[in-house]
Amino acid sequence: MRIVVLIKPGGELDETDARAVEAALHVARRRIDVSVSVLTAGPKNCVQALRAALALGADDGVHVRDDELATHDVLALSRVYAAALRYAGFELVLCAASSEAPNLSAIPAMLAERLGAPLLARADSLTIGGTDTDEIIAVCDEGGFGGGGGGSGGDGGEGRGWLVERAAEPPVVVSVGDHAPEPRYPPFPRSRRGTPEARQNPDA
Amino acid sequence: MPLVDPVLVLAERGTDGDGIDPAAGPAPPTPAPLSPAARELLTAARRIGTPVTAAVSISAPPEAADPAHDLPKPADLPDLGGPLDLAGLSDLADLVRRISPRAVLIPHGPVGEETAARLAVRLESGLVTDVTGISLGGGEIHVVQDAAAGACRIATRLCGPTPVITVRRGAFPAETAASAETVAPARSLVQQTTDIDAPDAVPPPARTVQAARPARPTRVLRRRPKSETGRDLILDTADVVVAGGRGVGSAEGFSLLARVAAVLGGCLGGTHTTCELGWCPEHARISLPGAQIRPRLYLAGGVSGSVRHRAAIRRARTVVAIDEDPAAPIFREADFGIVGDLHQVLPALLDELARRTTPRPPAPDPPALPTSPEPLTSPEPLT
Repeated sequence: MRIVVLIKPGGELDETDARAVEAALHVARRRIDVSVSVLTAGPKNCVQALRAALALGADDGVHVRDDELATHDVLALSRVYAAALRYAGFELVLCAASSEAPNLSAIPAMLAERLGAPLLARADSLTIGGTDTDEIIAVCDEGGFGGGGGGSGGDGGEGRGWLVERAAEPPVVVSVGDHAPEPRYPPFPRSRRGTPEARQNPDA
Repeated sequence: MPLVDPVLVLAERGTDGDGIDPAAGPAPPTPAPLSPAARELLTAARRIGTPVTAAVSISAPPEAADPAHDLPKPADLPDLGGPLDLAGLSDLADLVRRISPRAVLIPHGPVGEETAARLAVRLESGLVTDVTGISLGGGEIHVVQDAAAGACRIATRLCGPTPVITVRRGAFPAETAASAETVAPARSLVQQTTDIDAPDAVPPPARTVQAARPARPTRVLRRRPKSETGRDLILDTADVVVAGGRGVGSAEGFSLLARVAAVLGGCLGGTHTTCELGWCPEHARISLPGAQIRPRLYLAGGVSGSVRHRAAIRRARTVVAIDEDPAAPIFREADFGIVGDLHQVLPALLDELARRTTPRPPAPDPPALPTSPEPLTSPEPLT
């Protein structure tokens, strides 16, 4: 099973993207036959975000280099992502559901539309069905749905949202929500050893 | 009849806040008036052209339908379809192609954004989301968006045909209800009403076999209202957290803590023990694993301070602890410690807070968040 995590274009790994990588690794831990790739598209400096994602534990990274690609042009960006995904193949695409930068939160739905894959939106947790099935199960945060028809959703008050457990057969697009587990950054004890702080508190 | 600079507005029919009772009936015979969100959208649309309304009615999820909340697990429970179902989306795309509006305006939100995203892909037109400002200049639409949580604003010029725009709720104060309601239907020369009905609470089976469903729909296994899981309180980002431990004594004792939390404008949490005892909901567990909090003020009542709990509150700025045992480990973490029975200390604290807040009636923000914990120093501080 090939899991592809989309990384936002930019020089730094976004916290929300890091959560998506963590969710992918969470799935990958349960299975032997899983590879986790990270994919980004954009100018040269995107490779740094890609490296940070690899440091979190992704297996390989793909950088579609295009210095002209504007970050906020989600129509073009989703087209590039979709083309790259079709080329590389995928069973599960993970993408952060929210973004500090404008427009990018629409990417998961645009990809689902382009790839003709079901969308599990704003997933808090993600599992694979079992050993004999590849079904993806996600608990989706359908906040603000009630009364928010047509999309006035953001104002969904207390008790109006739903947590819905959804299942879909791969290939699937999943957007990873803000309540997904935090990424576990690898500790670097060796690199701290020589620092003044480490020398003062050797136990820390 | 040709339209002059039409702007397609995806407007939801009023089901909330309009005095329309959502439970009035499954099918209102007359079109309901537009919702407040739709009126805001029409206001925004009027800045760049003539609004044309596509009415959408999406019924609310089955809030009253299943009191048991956890539905049984039938594999064939059909999907509620999240946004507009895809048949409706095709209609919408066709409508846009037919009238080729200057822009399509959709209210921003989880549902609106997904609809906008899918529509933009179908039309191959540009998409800007969560717009807070919109204007017309030189025949092109200019929009303003917030970025980095409002730290900066981005102005964008849209040059492609028929951009899809989702508009932030509240960014455009709706013009007076009267003018909005009279002007909009008059101006929308073609009352384009694409009724896109989402399935009802328990959709009839006919709905699920309709064409233009996604080839492989998602399957709903379970559905819980968020209020039940208490998602509305978000411990990890709360500014003030009030938590109780085994020393609270009972589930009823937590209501006292909840009152304190409400007065301080904070969230209520509990230790892992109280969650296991069922006094406190599982989602409010402050522990490892559990919520790791970083409030400015953390008030612990009856919390002894296990290693796991202290690890979870490590990033709290000011810790105030109330416990009967002076040797409780929580006092090692606390900036202010009170040795005493929380059932006496907390009511006294509530009285004092009430006394301090009442002399200032025109307080703009009702729960004044204490930035410094001086008011909480006790008559008998622990050293």
